[in-house]
Amino acid sequence: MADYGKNQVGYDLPTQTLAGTRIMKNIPNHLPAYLAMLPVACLILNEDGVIEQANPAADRLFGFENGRFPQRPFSDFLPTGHRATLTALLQKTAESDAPTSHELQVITANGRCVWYRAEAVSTADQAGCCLVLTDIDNYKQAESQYQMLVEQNPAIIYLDQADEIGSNNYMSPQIEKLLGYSPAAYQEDPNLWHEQVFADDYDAASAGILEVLRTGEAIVEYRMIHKDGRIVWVRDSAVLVRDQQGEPAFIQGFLEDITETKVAENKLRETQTLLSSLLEHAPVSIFVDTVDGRLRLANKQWAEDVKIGREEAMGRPLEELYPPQLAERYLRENEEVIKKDYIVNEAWVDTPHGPRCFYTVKFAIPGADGEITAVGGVALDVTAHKRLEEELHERIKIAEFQATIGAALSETADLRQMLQKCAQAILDTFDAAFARIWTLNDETQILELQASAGLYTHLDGEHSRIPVGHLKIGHIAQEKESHLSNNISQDPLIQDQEWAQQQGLVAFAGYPLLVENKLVGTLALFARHTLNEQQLQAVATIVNNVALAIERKQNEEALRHSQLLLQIAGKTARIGGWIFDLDTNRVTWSEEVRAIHQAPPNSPLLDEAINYYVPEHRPIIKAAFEACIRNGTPYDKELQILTARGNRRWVRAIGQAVHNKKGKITQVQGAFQDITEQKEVKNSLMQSQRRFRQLADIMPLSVWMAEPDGTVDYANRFFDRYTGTHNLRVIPDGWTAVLHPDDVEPAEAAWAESVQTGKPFSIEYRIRRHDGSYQWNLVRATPIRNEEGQIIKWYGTATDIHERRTMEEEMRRLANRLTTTLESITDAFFTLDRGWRFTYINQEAERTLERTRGELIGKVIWDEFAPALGTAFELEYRRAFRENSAVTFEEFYPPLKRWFEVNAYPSEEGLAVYFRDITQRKQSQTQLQQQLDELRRWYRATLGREMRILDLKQEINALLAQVGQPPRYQSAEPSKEADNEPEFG
Amino acid sequence: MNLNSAKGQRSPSDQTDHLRLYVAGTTPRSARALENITRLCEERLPGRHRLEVIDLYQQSDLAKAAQIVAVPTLVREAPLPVRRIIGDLSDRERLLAGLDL
Repeated sequence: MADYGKNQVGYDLPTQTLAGTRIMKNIPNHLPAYLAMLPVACLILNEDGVIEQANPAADRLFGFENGRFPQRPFSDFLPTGHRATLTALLQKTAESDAPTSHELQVITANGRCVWYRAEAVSTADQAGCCLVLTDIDNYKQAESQYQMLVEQNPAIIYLDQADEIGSNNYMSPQIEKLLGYSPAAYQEDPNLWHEQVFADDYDAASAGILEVLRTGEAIVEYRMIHKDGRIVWVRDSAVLVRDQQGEPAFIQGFLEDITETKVAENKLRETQTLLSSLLEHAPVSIFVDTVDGRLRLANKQWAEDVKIGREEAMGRPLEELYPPQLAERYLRENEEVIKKDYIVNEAWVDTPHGPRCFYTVKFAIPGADGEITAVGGVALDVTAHKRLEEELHERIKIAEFQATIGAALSETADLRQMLQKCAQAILDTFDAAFARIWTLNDETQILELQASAGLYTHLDGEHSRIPVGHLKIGHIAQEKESHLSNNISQDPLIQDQEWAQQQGLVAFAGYPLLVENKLVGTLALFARHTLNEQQLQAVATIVNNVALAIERKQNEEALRHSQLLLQIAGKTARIGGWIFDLDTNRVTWSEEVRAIHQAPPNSPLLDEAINYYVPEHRPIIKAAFEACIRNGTPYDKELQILTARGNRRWVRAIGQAVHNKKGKITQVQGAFQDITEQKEVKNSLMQSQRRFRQLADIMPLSVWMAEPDGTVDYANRFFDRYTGTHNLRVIPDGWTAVLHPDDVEPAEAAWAESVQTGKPFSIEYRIRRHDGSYQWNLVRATPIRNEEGQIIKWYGTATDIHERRTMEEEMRRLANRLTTTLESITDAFFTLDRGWRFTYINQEAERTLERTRGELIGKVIWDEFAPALGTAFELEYRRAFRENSAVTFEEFYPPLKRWFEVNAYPSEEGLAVYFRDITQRKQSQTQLQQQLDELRRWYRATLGREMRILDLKQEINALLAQVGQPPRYQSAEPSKEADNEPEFG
Repeated sequence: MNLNSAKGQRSPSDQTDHLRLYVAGTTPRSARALENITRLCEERLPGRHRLEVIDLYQQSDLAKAAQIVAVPTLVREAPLPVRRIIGDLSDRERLLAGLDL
């Protein structure tokens, strides 16, 4: 049946059918036959719409069996929604003769609703109608499909007459959604379309029309203004449709809303421009290499870094762009990138601008198919940062080194420990193989090893004692010149080349330790790497400090000893010395003391020494000695001893305790004098003058007499023994014969003067002793006058003062040295007595305290420096006295705006105070802290550089996200960032 | 666009109106548009107008320069301001208003 609607009979058929039916209805017998021959479904309905006749086609359509159609209204066979249509059709038919038609759906035999065109005409008797149904279902479906296509399509279809463009004969209704106006609005106002075109895009729209007319088709994109003022991008695809004669008939086209695409496109273009501009002008080298090792792309900075024009470089193999080693490295890196997708490194590179350090990030660039086609790279020149970083690192290392040395020198009590710390600091700071420090023994001129760090740490090896002038160390000491070598194998001064080679030693630095050009030791280090200028300078700066510290330490020692000796020496001139050591319980005697005891040359135990005293004196000495050991009470006793050979002797025994730094008594030092003769002489002098000669002869010193005219007429037996002469008495003026030739003239002159003036004679001259040696003697003579006052006789003595004089000389020398030392030590120094009065102030102290000796000596410290009251100065000094122990402290003295480091040592006499201005060190510590802070800032700056790269990565990720691609740099995703800054200081 | 805004401001002097009619081919519609405008000009601007007809097929350059996006389009080049009337010019009222007549 469906075919009939489309067969060649066409739409004429129903009309004929209807005409035929109308005629046949009037000839009832023929009607069924007529209907039966019709190929289309045909029904006769009565005036109530009830089926009266149906032809076989209708039977088939509705499923009536053999013409047994039901006597029911036809509307029963229509979907309810279509029944009204039928009613309207029947009514129209009843009113007019003309055939009427409507499209409606009928329910077919198989229950489907199918579109039919129902044409009706009233029967001739006006009592019913004839209905012809033509299947238009296909047409209907096509139509709804077409509508659906047209109106559901997001693209707008339009149709213009070829000579009436823009009038929009037809437009899909969606145009309203696109531009805000309904299709009707365009038909009402022909200017509307024109007005909606965006002014800047008239050229494009116009060109589109001209092109479609000329070529038959065109696609243009232009902007339109929506009713609400929005700009809408449209793509207009038009085709010219020609009629059968080939003349232009229609222009048919589509309008698509491409706003989003356009916006995205523009955004993409913008971001691309932005990106490429960013890449081009970024102050980092950016480049892309192809996988086969050619340069594909490079920015301005790259060209500057590599110093090759970009046009020239593009497409060239890397081997031609970089030096061979570098090219090889870059190719290797690229291979790694292809495997790993991503690499980062920081490395020094030789560039045409010199060595540069680059922070480089390289990443794989995949092509459309995901295969890696290129390697991209970003290289940031971090040379300046790197150099600053290294320099800063070096500076901090040296500052720390200096601080360590400073601390070692100022805080360590023991010389060896102090120097060991220095050696260790040198070793650590300069990564040396070993470092050693020797001090000079002034007397022996031997350099004694005091500290050794690194490869060797023993202090008693073959180089522990080096005479000045021997080996390289001794040579440096002798020449007082430092010796530096970064090429030991070529250094003739290094004698043991084999050893140096075995140890892999490369560099040597040796320095004399000098204080005002006076050698105090040497310092040397060996390294397995070369030492640079900075490092050598750093060592050089501390060498002086080490030298000064050694000097100071040695002075401290010397001072401690000489102080005692001076005190003792002040009490007695003729002295034998001894030391008792509490640890060993032994007494060490000087040669003189031994001689007085007539004892064998060894160190007796304390009891042995005490047993020399006569029994009645032993408790006295014991008590005095014990008190001295226990309380530090000094003693000075005149007692008798029995010598080893049984001789009874008067001795003067003086003892004084020696404290160590902690205030503990470790030794007793003393003086010991044989005063037998003095005692005996004293006794003798109390005898009558008559017994003089008798006595004189037994006197253990030379005694002589002379006439008032000066003629020597007597010399005692001692003199004879002493000089080995026996005939002096018989040779007038023979006494000059035993004089030292140099002393004869002054002696004779002095004697002559005394004889002339009668003044007592006292002179020291050298007398030839029996053994031929000249000994200093103090020769005195006193005139004996009678009651009238006339000189009747000269009595004289000659005392061997050789030892005393030598001793005095030694003392003077020592005293001088002490003074010089106190003046020359770099530390400021003053002493106070127990009443807090200044007893001594050295130059450095005058300078530091800004006061002169004249102003201060004898003054009470708290009067002169009142602001120190209540500060550590007062508290610590008092503590030193109270605890009888040395104190060390650091304190700020506001009136002078200075920090001081103070060492104070208490003694019986008072307090010895060493102090020094450490303001600078304190400031150095502050500066070091500042340098550390600076490093921290640098670290942050460096981190900043990485943050910038991170930012760049994040930006690239963001751009990729905009174009819908996954992020390239997982490392730049926020979650992975961790903020950690290393600790400093 | 308020086409009436300039109404009455025209000087009645001997100013010549310069009109251009852009058409696509010599079709009946084009001819009708031409006929409409010619008749109006002869009525209202006798001897005071110049009318050119530009066929988009023949003189595409001129059309492009005039930024024609619809045909027929009548452009009044002078007097200023430039006016555009689109369509076959059969709506006489619109035409009169468009040309300030």
